[in-house]
Amino acid sequence: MKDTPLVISDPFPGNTPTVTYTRGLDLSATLQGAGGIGGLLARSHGYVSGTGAWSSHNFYQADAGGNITAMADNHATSASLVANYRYDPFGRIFYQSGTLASANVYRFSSKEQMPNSGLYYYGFRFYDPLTQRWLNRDPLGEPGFETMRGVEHGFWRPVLVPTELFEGANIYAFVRNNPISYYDAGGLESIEEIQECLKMLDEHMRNAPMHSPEWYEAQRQKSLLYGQLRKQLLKRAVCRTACRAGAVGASAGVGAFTGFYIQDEVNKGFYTAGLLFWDWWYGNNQYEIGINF
Amino acid sequence: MQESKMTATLEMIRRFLADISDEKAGMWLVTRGRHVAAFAERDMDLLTQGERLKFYGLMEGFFPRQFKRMLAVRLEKEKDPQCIELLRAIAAMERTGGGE
Repeated sequence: MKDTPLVISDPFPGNTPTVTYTRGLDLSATLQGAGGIGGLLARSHGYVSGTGAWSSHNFYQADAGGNITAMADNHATSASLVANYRYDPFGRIFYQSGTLASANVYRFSSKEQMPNSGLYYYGFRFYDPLTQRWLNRDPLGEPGFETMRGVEHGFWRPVLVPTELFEGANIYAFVRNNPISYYDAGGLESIEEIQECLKMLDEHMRNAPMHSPEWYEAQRQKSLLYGQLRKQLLKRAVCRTACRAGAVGASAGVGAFTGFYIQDEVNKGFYTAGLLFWDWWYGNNQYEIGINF
Repeated sequence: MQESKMTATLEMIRRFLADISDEKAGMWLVTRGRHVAAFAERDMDLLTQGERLKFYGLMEGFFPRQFKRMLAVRLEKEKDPQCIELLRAIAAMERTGGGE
């Protein structure tokens, strides 16, 4: 079962849940803005049929990169570690111990590791910690993928990242080969990467004469990247909106608010995140509220 | 456009153009495309020539819904030769779907 895109419960064989996960704010300080990395709080198992309760709870501990390093049980007086992991920077486990170390599948980057293959599932792509690469290329920018996500441009822009501008970079690389400094929320290029690419493109365009084929190509890339940056920012804004509305609702009572919706421009007219939106973090009244179904 | 909206839009555009990593300014702008479009139509000359050049470069990707309207208006109103040249190049790309 998923609170899209994050798993909150493992499959139900015979309608009996086996494991459920409690999630909190991730590295982005929202529920899903960083793909749930660093947001895992607890793993519960031992479902008591009929009561809806779980008999056993274990609590995750993660490092600054959101990698699960340990899990503790819930004994109030003598809590002990039931899982313990050590990774290399790219996520290969070189040590693990504890009674739940194998049963728990959420490990590096708080992502699910496939037990047989050892691959990590990031939502959009599978990552192989041994080769330190994604198995397939970044789908951002591919016509089929963009169509599926809803391309807003009236025409298709071909290539995604000007690979030749970034020595050594490729679309299979994991977090630009720097897992200590970066994380990947879901297997797609992150806001930070897009911003860096844009800065490099600007630098590149300074040396290209306007109207040259090189300039046109760079401008095309730039428009595409700004489009992706826009979508990522919108997504993050929607996440923050939902998160903040939830926090206020909890303290003041849900239902006390009129139902407003932020327009999800990515999906053209669908309103995906709701309840409440105004300019919480800028303190002026420049807000756009829409009720439009 | 109300004075307060114009001032806020100007400030956010300036912040974002100065630093595209300014996430707050970026989010503010992408969720207020209509304000930005109104600003581009009426108050764009408050930006410096350098800022306008940067803005025109990101206009299509960042404001896809308002892009065509903004481009048409700016082509009409822009006075700076370098900006006009850039706008014409972008318009050419828009017409042909890329490149000359």
